[in-house]
Amino acid sequence: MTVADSARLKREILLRSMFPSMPVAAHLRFTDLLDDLEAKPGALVFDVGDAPDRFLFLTEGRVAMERESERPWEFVPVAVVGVIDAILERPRTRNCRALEPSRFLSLRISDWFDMIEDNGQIARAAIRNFAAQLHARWRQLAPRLERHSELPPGGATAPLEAYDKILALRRATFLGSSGMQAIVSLATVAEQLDLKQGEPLFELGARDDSLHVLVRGAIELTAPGGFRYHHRRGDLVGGAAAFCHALPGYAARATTDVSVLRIAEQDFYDQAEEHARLTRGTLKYLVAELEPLLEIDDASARLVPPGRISADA
Amino acid sequence: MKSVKTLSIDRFVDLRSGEAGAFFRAFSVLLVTISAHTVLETARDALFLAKLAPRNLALVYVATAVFTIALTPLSVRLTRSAGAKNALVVTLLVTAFAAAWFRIRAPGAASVFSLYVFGALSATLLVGQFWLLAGTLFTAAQSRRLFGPLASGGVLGGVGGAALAALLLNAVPVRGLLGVASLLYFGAAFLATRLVIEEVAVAPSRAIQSSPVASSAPLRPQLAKVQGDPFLARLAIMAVLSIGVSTVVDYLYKAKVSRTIPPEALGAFFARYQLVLSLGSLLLQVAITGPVVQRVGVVGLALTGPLLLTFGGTMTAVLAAPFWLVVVLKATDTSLRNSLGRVATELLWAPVEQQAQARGFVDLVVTRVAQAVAGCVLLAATMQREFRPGHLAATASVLAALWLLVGAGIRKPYIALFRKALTRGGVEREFMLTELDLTSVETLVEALARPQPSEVIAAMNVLSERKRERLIPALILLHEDEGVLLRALELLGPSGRKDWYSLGERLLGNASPRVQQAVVRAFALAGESDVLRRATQHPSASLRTFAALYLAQLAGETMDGDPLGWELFADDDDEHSLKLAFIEALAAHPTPETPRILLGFAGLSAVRGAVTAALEVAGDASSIDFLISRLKWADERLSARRGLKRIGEPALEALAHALYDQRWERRVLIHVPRSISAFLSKAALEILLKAMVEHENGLVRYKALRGLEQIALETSLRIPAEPIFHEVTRNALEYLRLFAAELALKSDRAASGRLESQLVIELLDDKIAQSRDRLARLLQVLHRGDDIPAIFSALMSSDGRRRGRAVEFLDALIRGFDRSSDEAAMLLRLVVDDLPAELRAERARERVGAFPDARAALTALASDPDESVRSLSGRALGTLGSLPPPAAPPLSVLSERLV
Repeated sequence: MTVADSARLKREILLRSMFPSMPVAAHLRFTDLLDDLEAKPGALVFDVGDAPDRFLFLTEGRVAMERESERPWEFVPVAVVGVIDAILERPRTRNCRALEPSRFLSLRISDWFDMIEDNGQIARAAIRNFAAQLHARWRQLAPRLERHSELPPGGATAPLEAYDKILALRRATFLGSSGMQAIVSLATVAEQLDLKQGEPLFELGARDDSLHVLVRGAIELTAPGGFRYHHRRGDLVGGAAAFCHALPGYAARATTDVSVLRIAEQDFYDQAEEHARLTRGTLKYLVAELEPLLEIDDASARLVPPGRISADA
Repeated sequence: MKSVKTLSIDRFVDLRSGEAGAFFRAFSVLLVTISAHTVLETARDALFLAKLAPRNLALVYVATAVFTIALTPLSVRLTRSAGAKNALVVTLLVTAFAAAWFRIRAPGAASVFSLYVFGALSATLLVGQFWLLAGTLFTAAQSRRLFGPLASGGVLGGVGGAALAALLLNAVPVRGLLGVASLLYFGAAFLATRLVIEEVAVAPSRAIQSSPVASSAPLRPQLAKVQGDPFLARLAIMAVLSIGVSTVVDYLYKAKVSRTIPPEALGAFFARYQLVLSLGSLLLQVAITGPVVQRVGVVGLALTGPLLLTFGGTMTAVLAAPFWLVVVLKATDTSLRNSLGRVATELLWAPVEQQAQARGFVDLVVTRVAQAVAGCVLLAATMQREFRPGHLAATASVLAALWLLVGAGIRKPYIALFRKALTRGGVEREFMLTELDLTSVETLVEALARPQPSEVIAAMNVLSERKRERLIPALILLHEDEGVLLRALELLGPSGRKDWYSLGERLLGNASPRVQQAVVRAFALAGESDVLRRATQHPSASLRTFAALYLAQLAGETMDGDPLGWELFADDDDEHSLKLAFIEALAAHPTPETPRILLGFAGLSAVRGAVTAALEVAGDASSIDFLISRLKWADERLSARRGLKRIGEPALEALAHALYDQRWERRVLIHVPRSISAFLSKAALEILLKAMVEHENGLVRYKALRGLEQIALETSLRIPAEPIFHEVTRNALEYLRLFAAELALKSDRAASGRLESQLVIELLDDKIAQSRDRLARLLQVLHRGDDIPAIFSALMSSDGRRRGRAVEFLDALIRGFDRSSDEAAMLLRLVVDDLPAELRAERARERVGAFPDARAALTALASDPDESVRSLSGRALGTLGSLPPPAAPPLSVLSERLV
């Protein structure tokens, strides 16, 4: 694709204003990969069941993503449209209809994945970006979720062999799509922590850039303002907060005897640079967690959201 | 899935699951159509030469060309409105009726002339329509495998038709053959109705657009398109030369026959000739075409015809065109044209999609005009002087040599065409080097005036990265947004400009403390002590402190000893704001003492990131170890790399040493190769090549490869191919070995159902993908102009056409390898070819061994060099009732990736 320099600059400025923290190289590459798209009012930009092969950057106008018997999601500039289905690699579950004359820049999902796999910085930025969105939403809604009030049984602690670590990480929700090689590699760098009931995993305000995967028992996550959330086996403690450096806003305490696998953030991203599926898998996890939260009407009193958040604890 | 082995026909044609039906139906249509045409052609040639002088052939060529040009648009409409299959059926039916009509008419001069033109015309349309239809039935990759065997259906039809004609001529007159031909055309039409086109496989409209009869657009733009495209231009020239050779050879042959064979024996002669020709073609097709396509590739295939005709034409000319040699020359031209030549043409056009109308233009207008011109030249030549067969043979030889010459240069544009269809577009880094033109500058200045602060900041960043900070107006400091002001001050401070000073100093009165601090910082970076002195009188205590600090730094008022113990920082806050400001100012105005002081600050972990950033611009050889140690931190890695690169050769030597230095922890080690590649030098290249081949740590080898990829893409340094081929061989073997083992494991349902085996399968999946990724990167190093990873990703596409193109493109690249890399090329082809799993494993067996069942696969994997594979496989094997080999270490040593 060849575009005039001035048109490229316009795109670059737009992208930079949308993603100010993204590395320069990513902006330049993005600029080259974008295609222009226009839609008249009422026109379908994509329909339910379509292949999710592209992201759309809405630059002008207004669109809605609709699904039968669900409230529509409306987007205004500058927004990214169609990202959830694309990352989850499933056919479109909502259509996208232009409400006004609208313009987009579209990017092939495969190009985007290529970019994040080629560049560790972009991968980290993408993960942090999604994690920050998910965390903001989760922080607001978590106290209303079913799991908030449940307390699962604990388990006896024992040293984990490497094979056990592999099995434990394979069970971890956030590594569900990351691939066995990444899991094996993470198992080699994961450090086991055993806590007795009542012991803290980390305190409020503590700076710990590690990821903690709960292998046995239960952990309670608390935050100022009465926030309380129970983590169970397979959970990443803090969820998205662990990926966007928001853990200092929380304290975590063992509510039973627990075993946790601690993975240093640096180790995680080092492995992500080697194993592309780890980045993709993490993004999938974040988006899969975000989607059901987006479905919850802020005004509703519903406590059990659809999707994975309330599922298998 | 039907096994390939179960097909008895597999020696003749490499049929895959689901292809047999379409192939055999198409095969039978071509067989009967060519049978009919051969019978008709036998009658036509005999009747023509019995009634008319050979020089009339020149008129026939012209008439055929004119009628082809005139009738093709009708065929186009028919194809577009009715589809490729229906168009073929209709054309077959019309031909059948016309043949019957010629059978009924008395064979006068006009009649045989018309019959000849009709025969040539119908053959052109029918064969073109058939291959168009074949193009819709099969993808590019399938075409490469199947078109050779499919074309042999035509050759077989030639044999059958010729044999039938020879037999019939014992009982019926020559004209009787026309009736038989008519019946055969009807039969072919019936068979064509049985063909099934799967709409999903190929969009018919797209296939039709690429048809040789699909031109209806104005000629001038099409001509311009062909002229402007190196690939199409060469195809057009090749088509012109090819038709020129064919016309001359045909004229030579028929003139010789007319002079040598009595009229009453012409029918029998042509029937026997056709039979011998067809048998020879069949032999050629069965024994040569398929292997030739696989071995020499498309371009080699396209050159075979002109090469043989150049040789044959020269021999004929030198030997004064004896009858037997002329017959051989004609037979060579005809048989090659209908076998290798046809296949080559179809394959060369396969990647052409967007240039659809151009194909119509080339196949219809260019070739027919060339044919008409050739006819006119022949007519003029034969009218003016007596028949000189040696001259005609020499002319054919020269034209064939030119054809060969033009064809030899087609490989490069052919690959370029695939590249265009598969890759992701231009390379962005070139844009950074481009000067901003006036329109671009206008765009940026316009963006600076936008209401959205984010866009203003973005525009400033774009200008800064293109070294055009001077275009940022000082008036930007009147902006109301804090973010805009902060970024503008960041850029203006070190810019060397002074036009912003007055507006900048006014911002000391801004309500935002962050803006005030940014002002002081900007003036410190500008080295403007007067303003800083005035700032020491500011009402804000913290601002006064900052100003004093910067002034001290500017005046070189540093002290000896540990900077962390300096009195200057006695009142610093928990965020170390003063120390951070001092470090930044040090970097802005470095002195010989700066690295020492900065390294002194490195004792405090909270400011190490700032130290790394400062050493990026102020470091010296004493900073090397510190900068290498910071490579493990993602947020500091880029600065550390830049700092090391700025230090130069001593840093590169230290990095080369660090690759094999046990004292560096793993987190540092794995980032050393990419730090080396940042030097983009020949020395860096050599260090990385060695590490890629020899380093004991797999991840370091991989990172070295990534570094080489960077050097390949960002420099024009020559990269020796030998180590790359070494790695291609290693990774391709790894891919094939793991692939075969995994297939055996997956095929055993009982074993693969166990958790332990499932873990092995999941691990192998990843490692197979990893090997493929490394192969892509290795090829990228060799072919730096291509976007190889994108082409490899097309190999996994669900779109068969796109997958086929990727295979074809990679095959063309692999053929470009030199002889010393035969093994790498063979293995790589086995990896990328679109093969069923069983067939790939079977073909890889010689190189990677056989894995008859899950137990055998796990036994082999339990001795794998990779610790993780070995451990998991050993455990899985244990669940099958076998103990792992004694050499297998305990699982707890899963630390292959730890140094």
